[in-house]
Amino acid sequence: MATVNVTDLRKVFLGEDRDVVALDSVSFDASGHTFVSIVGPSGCGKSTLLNILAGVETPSSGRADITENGSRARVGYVFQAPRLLPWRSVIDNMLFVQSERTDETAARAARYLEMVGLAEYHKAWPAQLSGGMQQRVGIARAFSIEPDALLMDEPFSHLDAITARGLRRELHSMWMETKKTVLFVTHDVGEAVELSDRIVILAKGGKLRKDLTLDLPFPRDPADDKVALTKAEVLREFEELDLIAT
Amino acid sequence: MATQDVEAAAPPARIDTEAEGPTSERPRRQRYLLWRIAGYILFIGAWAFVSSLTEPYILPSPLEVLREMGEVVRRDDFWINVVATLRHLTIGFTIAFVLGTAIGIAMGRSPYWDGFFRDYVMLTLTTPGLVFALICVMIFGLSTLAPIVAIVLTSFPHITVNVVEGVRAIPRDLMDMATAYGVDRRTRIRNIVLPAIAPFLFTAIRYGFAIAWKITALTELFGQTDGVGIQIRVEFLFFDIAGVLAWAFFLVGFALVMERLVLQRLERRFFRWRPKAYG
Amino acid sequence: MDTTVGSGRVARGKRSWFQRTFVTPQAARITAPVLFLVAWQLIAPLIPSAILPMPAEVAEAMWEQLRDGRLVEAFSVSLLRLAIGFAVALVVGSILGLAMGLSRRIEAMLHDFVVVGLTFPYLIWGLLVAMWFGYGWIGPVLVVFIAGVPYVILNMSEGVHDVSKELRDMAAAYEVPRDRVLRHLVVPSLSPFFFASLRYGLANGWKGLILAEVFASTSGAGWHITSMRDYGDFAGVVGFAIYFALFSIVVERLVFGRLSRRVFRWRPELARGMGDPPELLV
Repeated sequence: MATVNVTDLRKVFLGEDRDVVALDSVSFDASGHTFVSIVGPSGCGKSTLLNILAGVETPSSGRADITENGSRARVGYVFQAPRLLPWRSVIDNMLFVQSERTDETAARAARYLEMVGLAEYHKAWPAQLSGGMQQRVGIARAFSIEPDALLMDEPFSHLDAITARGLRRELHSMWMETKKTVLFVTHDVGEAVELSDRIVILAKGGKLRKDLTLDLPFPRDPADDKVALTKAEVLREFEELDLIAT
Repeated sequence: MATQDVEAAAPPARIDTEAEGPTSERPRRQRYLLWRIAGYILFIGAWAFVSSLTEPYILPSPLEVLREMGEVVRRDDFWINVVATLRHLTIGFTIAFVLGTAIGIAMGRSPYWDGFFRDYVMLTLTTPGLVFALICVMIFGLSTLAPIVAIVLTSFPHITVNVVEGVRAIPRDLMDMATAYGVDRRTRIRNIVLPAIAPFLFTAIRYGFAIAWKITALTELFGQTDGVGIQIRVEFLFFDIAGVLAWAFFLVGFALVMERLVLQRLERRFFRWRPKAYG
Repeated sequence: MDTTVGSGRVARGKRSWFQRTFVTPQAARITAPVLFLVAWQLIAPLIPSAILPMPAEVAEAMWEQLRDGRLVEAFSVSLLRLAIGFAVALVVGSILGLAMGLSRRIEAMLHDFVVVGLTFPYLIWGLLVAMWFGYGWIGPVLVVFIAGVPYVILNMSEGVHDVSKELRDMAAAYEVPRDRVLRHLVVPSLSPFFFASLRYGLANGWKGLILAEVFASTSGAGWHITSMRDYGDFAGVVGFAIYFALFSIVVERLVFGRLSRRVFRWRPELARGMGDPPELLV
């Protein structure tokens, strides 16, 4: 479990005729066993926020850290596309991101592959797996380094509805079991309501507009009345911010 | 852990215990094997027919060329010359490959070096090899340097061009993933950069090598004291068409062996991970 | 390793005047030949055999060749041969290429020969036509044809394969007659490949031609440069070599570069076309 601190984060992309402000003085914190969804329309800087937290991009100003007991936390990252090395087997893909190649880490990787139900495909090439299965490997990979925090960037947006639903359930159980800090980016409000105990809404222009805490107990059945109501409420908040129109 | 019902019930049809790689060409050609053979028969038949109409010293029959090839192989100096040529080729091509790769990487990563080498690379791709052969023989005379330098000058651009493309094709998204996971540089190079460049390296070797052996023969013909090129010149001076054809088939045979037995084998091993091509 | 991803223009530090003028890619294109000349000037006197002429001598020889018309004459002859030989190669190659593209049987039959045609050294062709036809025009023109035809065939057949399967299926679903499919679907999508045929067929036809002229003619650029060597005119040889190089650059950049970009506006990745596609090597 980790602590996420984002303070006055700004990111500006210098363009040909005009500059694009992806993040505009965003500040929030999260820590412990929590699932935070970052919701917003496309192009509002959600992915940029994650990239900065992951160290893939640098901020224009401000700070964003994920720490564990004072030092930099171990972070797992799940992308929209599975981003598996096509020329390495599934298990080798898992091993690629381990900090050291030992028997212990190898066993660990195998364990997490088992957890997503793909143990028998450990020697397969990514191209031999369906999109959903590849994404499951991506998730297993993130979990297998036993990170303190997990960053997920619209991981199910490229999958069909049925597969996505199943993976959401899988992700939820794994999160309950392993108790991590999860930052989950999505444009799907329903998904956010189903999975998170907190929803942060970013608007176009990169401003953090709302920070909602959801009180509903887990597990949440999307068909449940209370869940549907909460979803409606959040959607209303969303609309109030005039986001959907843009 | 409950797995997705739909998926567990039907594992993807793509799982293939004998994943073959880029050989989807093979089954297609085997289907038309008869036509392929027909082509050969037509060719040899036409050749035999035309040669029967002319004097043997103008167009020897296929059989005569075959006989000549046997005779050439049995000559005392055959292997000395072949070894000499192989030596020139190996040294020259190795240097060309190393140089070409280094320059290719530089050009791929830096616009400055791209500008620096671009004209020379382009120039070499279309300037006739004859020019390089003549100049190298002119400068280096009968020494071994002549074919080697000629090979390096004509072959490295082909390597470079392909390496440049390879460098540009290194998948950014995978590199970012590696950054996000904090993977160290060596692991990144071994697992992302090299495999991504590999197909381009194969292409580079194909083109580079194809040019290399031709230039070797050419340069030897104009200068050397030993090598296959010299033998060809001798056959030419003696107006021995059968001899020239014999050497031609040896050369082409060599090229095909390198392609089939060496390169394609290596390729199959390297690219097992590729999904079977459609159709 | 680069960790800034898609972060747009990085704010650059101040670059000195020197950097801005000399350390740009454009400057590099000029620096390269300049450095080459300087190196040449310095190295030439060091080579004992004095067979490497100095830049000044070469420049003089180049000027002479230009002045007395030898340059123009040699290149004219060669270019004319190239045109004739390639015209035939284009016609024959297109027919064969289209046939190969449309019929798997014909492709099976001819495939290996095209491959051999691509691999066969021009040197041998040059020698053969010299022995068969002696000195004259037939030999070189024939070699242009032989060298160029495989590239035309290759590109045209690839062009036929490249015709979108979806469009072909659509035409099949509507039962469009074959000749209409050819005219309105196949032929228009062929234009980039036709262009590639030109480009690679001409480039290789040229190379074969020059070599053939060495052995099988008494005129043309290939013969000319070799005869200068035989006469010991080394400055002339180097000068003429530079003319060859300049010719290549000019043709590549002006003709093919510009034309290629215009033709491939809509599909820039095709601007390269097929040189010697390795997948087809046996």
